[in-house]
Amino acid sequence: MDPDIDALVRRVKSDRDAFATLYDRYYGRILTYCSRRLYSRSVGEDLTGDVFLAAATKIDSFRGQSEGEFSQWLYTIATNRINEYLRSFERRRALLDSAARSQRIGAAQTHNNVDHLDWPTVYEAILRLKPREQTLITLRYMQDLPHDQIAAITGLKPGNVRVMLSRAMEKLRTQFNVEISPPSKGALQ
Amino acid sequence: MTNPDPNQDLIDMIAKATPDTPINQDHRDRLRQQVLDAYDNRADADAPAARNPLFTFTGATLMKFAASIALLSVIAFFAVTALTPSKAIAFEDVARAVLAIDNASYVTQTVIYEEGQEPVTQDSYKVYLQFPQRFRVDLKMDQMDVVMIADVPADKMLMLNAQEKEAFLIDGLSSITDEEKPTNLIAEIQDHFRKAQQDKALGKVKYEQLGEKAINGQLAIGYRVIDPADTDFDTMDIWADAKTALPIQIVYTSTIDERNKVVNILDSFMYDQTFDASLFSLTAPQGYKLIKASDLIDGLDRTKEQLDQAINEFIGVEAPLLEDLALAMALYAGQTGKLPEQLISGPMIDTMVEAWEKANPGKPIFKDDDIEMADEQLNAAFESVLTAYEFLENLKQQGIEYTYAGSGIEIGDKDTPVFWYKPKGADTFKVIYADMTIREAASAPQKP
Repeated sequence: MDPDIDALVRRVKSDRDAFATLYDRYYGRILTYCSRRLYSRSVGEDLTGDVFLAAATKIDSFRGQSEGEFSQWLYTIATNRINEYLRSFERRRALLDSAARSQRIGAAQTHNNVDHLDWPTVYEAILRLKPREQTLITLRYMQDLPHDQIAAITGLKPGNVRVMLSRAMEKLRTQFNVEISPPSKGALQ
Repeated sequence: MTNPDPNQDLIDMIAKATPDTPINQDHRDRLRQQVLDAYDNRADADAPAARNPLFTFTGATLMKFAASIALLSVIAFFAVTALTPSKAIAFEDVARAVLAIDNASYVTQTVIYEEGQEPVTQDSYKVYLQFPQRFRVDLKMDQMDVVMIADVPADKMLMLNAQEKEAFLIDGLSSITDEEKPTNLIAEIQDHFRKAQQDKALGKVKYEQLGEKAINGQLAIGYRVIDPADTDFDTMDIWADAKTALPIQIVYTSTIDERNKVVNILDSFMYDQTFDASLFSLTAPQGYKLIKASDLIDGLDRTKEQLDQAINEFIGVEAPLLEDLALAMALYAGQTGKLPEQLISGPMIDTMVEAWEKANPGKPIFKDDDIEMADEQLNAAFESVLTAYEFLENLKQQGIEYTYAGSGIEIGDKDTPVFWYKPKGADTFKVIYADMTIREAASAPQKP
């Protein structure tokens, strides 16, 4: 991590410009995280707004002194917001699932090779995992966060994060192997 | 070193398939303004005081966080505006009574609520306050028996470790910013009420009535103080004596997130006592070894991390040792038959899982809740590997080089060195041998 950014983090409670700089630095990352977890940029933008507004009002409760801790804090807020959203909008989640699936049908008809996985296919496979596994995959492989930070964000132990990720990846691999060669009947429903 | 990931092909495929998320500049700019407005408004709203970083452990787990709160039950944070008036003892009466306190003692109990776990009640500890800004915390938690004495006007803090007979003196608190200095709960409440009085705004204090209840035979009237910033962190229930309006019990809740919270219950309050001056003495008791923070780190340039580390080491909350590494190696070998190829936590965990699954075919590795490992020994091995990793990281941070030579070696031989390093300032090397004993050596061992 960058020591200059650590210095900004240490001032973030009292320095508006420091907070603004961190907003600029993290806006894209949080938007990407929310959008990829929810398969919708507009919902992702809404939640990104919630995350940063919460961060702004709760900044005095932030205890960290480094960028790593700030990043972890922000991702924790985002993860909680995403989970709240998914719990509150089960129906919407089903619609998103269905949207992914309909795009997947087109995709499956044109790509029968693992080298050509498309996003709807990946997303559909991820959606079939447990919600916690979905979060882990997104944080690790789409946000490049280290295991210990993911552990702190999700409240899991770092060793368990590693094992659960490995299990989730095995499940994905199985799904891709099945799905990529002629699309299964289930996938077309 | 980078851990090889057996799923790299899949990771690459996912990365390739994952679309970019283009940024809508309008959204970003509009949100930026809203966020900065929220930042400014929260600053106007009597923001809660920052917790003392001396006791806020970096990367804290919930337990560590509880420990930090326990050490400073003394930290408070709230600001208020009013909802409903009370009948019997008015909230204003409680505020006036609190403002009149100039010494007190009380007992604090911390209860940790962690998702999926039974609540854990920590040992209680006693706090003595002597205004202005002198306080003492007698803390007994698990193996710890620590006393902390802070004298803010004198710019000093003394911590005593009864087990080790060590006294740790932090002087020069003035090098810490005002908001980071140690403070205490009652003083914080008083400060708030004082400001509110000055502003003639006491009537606008935000609170809820909680009704009445008996606490240890005393009738108490309750008020819940509400945080104006609407954070998850701050609620405080004050139960005041129906006669004197002085607090009998204060319940102070810190919400970590929607699933985890720490509740501090302060009771057994005693007021207007004459404390023995020795309670707040900043002199190390006889027989204690005095360690000065300024001797360990440059008093002027020390960072919060350095202080955290020094305090953590002093109270023994988190100080991985060479013994932890030896234990991790032994547990690893217990699972796999041999010492690890490299001291890298990821592959070590992977190999242990692989060996465990081989030895326990068809058995689920996780309990039903998917959080805890089903096998306690495996879980202990995981924990141990991570602690060992932390030990190695600490060596790296101190610029200490170490050598690992245990790859593929079986546990047992007392003369085969498998790990060694030279601690800073030491004349000899510390060596772990293949029988997992730790001994010192005058020179670096030869690799087997």
